[in-house]
Amino acid sequence: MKDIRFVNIGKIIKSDSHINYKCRVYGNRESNEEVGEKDYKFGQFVKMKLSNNYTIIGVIYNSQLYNPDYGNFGPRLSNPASDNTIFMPDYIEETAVILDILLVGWLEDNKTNQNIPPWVVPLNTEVTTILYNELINFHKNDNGGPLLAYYNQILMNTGSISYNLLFCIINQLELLVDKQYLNKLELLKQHLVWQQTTLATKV
Amino acid sequence: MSNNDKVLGLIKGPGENPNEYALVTTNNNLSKIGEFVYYETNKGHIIGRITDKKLIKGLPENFMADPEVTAREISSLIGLTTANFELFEVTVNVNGYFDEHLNCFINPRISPEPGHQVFLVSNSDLTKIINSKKEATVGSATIGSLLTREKNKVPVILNVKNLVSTHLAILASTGSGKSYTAGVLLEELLKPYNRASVLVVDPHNEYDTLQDIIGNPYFETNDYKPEVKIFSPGKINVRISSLTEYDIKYLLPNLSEKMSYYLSVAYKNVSKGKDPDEDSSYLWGLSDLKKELEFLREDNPEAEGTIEALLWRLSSRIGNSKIFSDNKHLPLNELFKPGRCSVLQLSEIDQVEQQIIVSTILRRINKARMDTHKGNNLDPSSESYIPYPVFALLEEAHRFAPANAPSVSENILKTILSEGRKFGVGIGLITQRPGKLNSDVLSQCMTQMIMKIINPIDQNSIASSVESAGSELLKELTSLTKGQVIIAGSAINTPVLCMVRERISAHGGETIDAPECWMNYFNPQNLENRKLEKSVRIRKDKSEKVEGLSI
Repeated sequence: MKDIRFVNIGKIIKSDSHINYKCRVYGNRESNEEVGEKDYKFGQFVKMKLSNNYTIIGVIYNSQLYNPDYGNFGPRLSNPASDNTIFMPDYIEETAVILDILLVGWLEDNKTNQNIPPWVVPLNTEVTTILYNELINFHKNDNGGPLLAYYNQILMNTGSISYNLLFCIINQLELLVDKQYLNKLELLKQHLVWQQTTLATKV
Repeated sequence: MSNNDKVLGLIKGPGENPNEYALVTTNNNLSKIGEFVYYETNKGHIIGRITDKKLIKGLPENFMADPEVTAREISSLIGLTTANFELFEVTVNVNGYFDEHLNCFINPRISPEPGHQVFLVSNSDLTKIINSKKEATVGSATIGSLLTREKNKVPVILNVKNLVSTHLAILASTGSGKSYTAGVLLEELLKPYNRASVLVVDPHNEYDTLQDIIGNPYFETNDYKPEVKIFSPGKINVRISSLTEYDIKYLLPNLSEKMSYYLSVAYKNVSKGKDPDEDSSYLWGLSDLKKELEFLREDNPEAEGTIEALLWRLSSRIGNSKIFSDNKHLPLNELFKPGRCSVLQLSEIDQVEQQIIVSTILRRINKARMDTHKGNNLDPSSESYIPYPVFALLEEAHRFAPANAPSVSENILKTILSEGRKFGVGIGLITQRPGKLNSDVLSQCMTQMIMKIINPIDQNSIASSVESAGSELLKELTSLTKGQVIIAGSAINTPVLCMVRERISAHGGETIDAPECWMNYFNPQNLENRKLEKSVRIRKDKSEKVEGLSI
C-alpha cells in the first residue's frame, strides 16, 4: 500500500452515468511523470479535484485497452512491438488504456463523505492517485473505525465483478485499520465469499 | 381514548385466521406479546391483543456469524447506521370494540383497512377495558398489574362475584408461586370491600401466615376486623353419622361382595334410610353400626366370618382414627362466616381421610346453602343456617378429584361445580398437576389463573380444558417466570398476562434453601451444641447414710 506514489494517472474523457466515469491513462510524454502499470490497478482509489474545497473520490473497477487498428491485420500489428516506436510512432499515439471509475464519495474541506457526489466531474479533469493517509481518512467513521458506506453502491453499479472489487478494497483496508477492527472486515469478507459462491452456484 | 396514544405501526392486512390481522412495525419494544392495541373505525376503537411477532426485514444471517462482532457493527461498517430499520410483522387477535353498557367486547367481523394506523391502548383506557370492577370497590380483587406495562400502572382487578360463583382454578408447577397467588387472592377476599367467607383446605400448612392480616390496618375499618381461624389436625373431626355408605366403603377398600352387602344392610338399618345431611339431629355412631352388624351376625350364622372381618376392619380403620367421632364435627357456622378465613390444616392426616374430610364438609355446606337459600332452614340457631355465599379453596386439588382414579370427594365437587353457582357455593382449585386433575372438574372452573407449566401432559390438559385463555396465550406458559400469571375467564373481561402483586401477609410456602441449611449444620456453634448434647453427664454420687453417718 505504501508504494503508491502521488501521480496524475490520466484525465476524464467520458461518463456513462453520474457516477461512472472513464479515464484515459496518460501515454508517453503526455504528463510530467511517466505513468506505469503500477499506478492504476483494479480496486485502486483515485481522486479528482474540482476546486480547492472539493475533491471527488472514486475507485477503479474496470479497464479497457483502446486500439483503433484492432481488426486490421496489417504491418503495424504484425511488426514486433519494439519496432513500432521507431517506425510507426503515430500508431502508438492512437492506442490507450481506458479506466472505468466509480465515484464513491468526496472530500469537502478535508471532511469525508461516502456517498454519491452531487457535482458533475468536468471533462479533462485530472485523475490522481490517493495516498496512504488520504485513504485511511476517507475510510474512517466518526468513532475511528472503518467505514464502507459505498458498499451497496459498488454492488449495484459494478456488475459481475462487484464482489471481487469489494474483496480487493477490504484487503487494502485490512492493511490500514487498527487490529481491533480486523474481525469485522473478516466477517464482511466471509459474507462476500458466501454470496459470490452461492450466487454462482445458482447460475 | 385519545389521539395522544402511541402509534405502534400500520395495518398490513387480514391475518391467517378470521379474527386476526397483521400489522407492520419497527418498534420491537412496544410490540410485546400480550400487549393491547387498537385501530380506529366508525364503530369505535377495535381493541386487539398481540399474539405473535416475526421479523420480516433484518440483517443477513451472515452478519451474525462471529459472536464477537455484533450484526449492528457490520451493518454500520457498510453504512447502515439508521436505527430501527428492522421490520416486524405482528399478529393481532381482535377482541372487538368495548361496549360499556354490556361491559364486554363485540367483534365487528370486518377486516381492517390496510395502511391504517394501529395505536397502543393507553394505561387508563386499558384499566377500564380489561377490568369489570374498579379498584378497591365492593366485589373487586386487585391481584396485580398488567405484565406488558410498567409495574402497577395497569391494575388487574378480578370480579369477585364471578370468581366465586363460577369457580376458579389456579394451575402452576411447583415453585412458580401458586400458593403466593392464592395468598394474594385470599387477602383481597378479606379486605373490607369484600369480607368474604372463605375456607382453605391446606394440606401443606402454608396458609397459617394469613394470620398476619389480623390487626393489619390494610384490612380493618371501624366496623370490620377480619378473622383467620386455623383448624389444626387435632381440631378436625368428622362425625360418623355424616358419612355416606360410599364414604365408609371408600375407607375400607377391597371389601368382598358379601362384606359390601352386609355393610349396606347394616348402614341402612342404622341410618334408617335417612340421608345424614337431611336430618343432622339424627346421630349414630360407630358402636351403633357395629351393633347392627352384630345383629346380622346372629341372624346369619353362615356369615359369621365375613361380618367378624368387617367389624375388625371398621374398628381398625374408623375406630382407631383420630378424626372420626360419634358426635363431634366442625360446625358449619364456625367454618363459614363473612370476614372469616378458616384454614383446615391437613398435613398430618392420611390422604384418604383428607378426601373424606373435604367430601363431608363440601356435602354439608352444599346442603346447608341449598336449605337456607330455598327457605327450608330458617333457624338462625342451627349450625346449618348459612345465609351467605361461601367460597372454598382447595390446595392440591388433584388429590380430591384425580383424573384416573375414583375419589370419594369427586362427585360432590362435580355437583358443586355444576350447581353451586345457584346456591352460592364457590370452589377454587389449586394444583401443580393439571394433568392429574379430573378434566370434567377443571373445565367447570370458569376463571383460570395459570402460571408457569413445563410438563407437556399438564400443558395439553390445560389446552383441552381451558378454552377461554386462547391457544396463543397458552404458548407463553413455558416462558412465564415466578409471579407471572395468565388470567382468563369470567372474572376478567379479556385474558391478560399479569404480574401478581406483593403479599401483605408473609408467604408460608417459601422454598427451603437446602444448601444454606446444610452449611448451617456445620456452623461452629451448632457443632458445639451437638457435642454438648451427646456428652455424658457425670453426676455426683449421692451420699449414702450408714447408721446415721453420711458417706
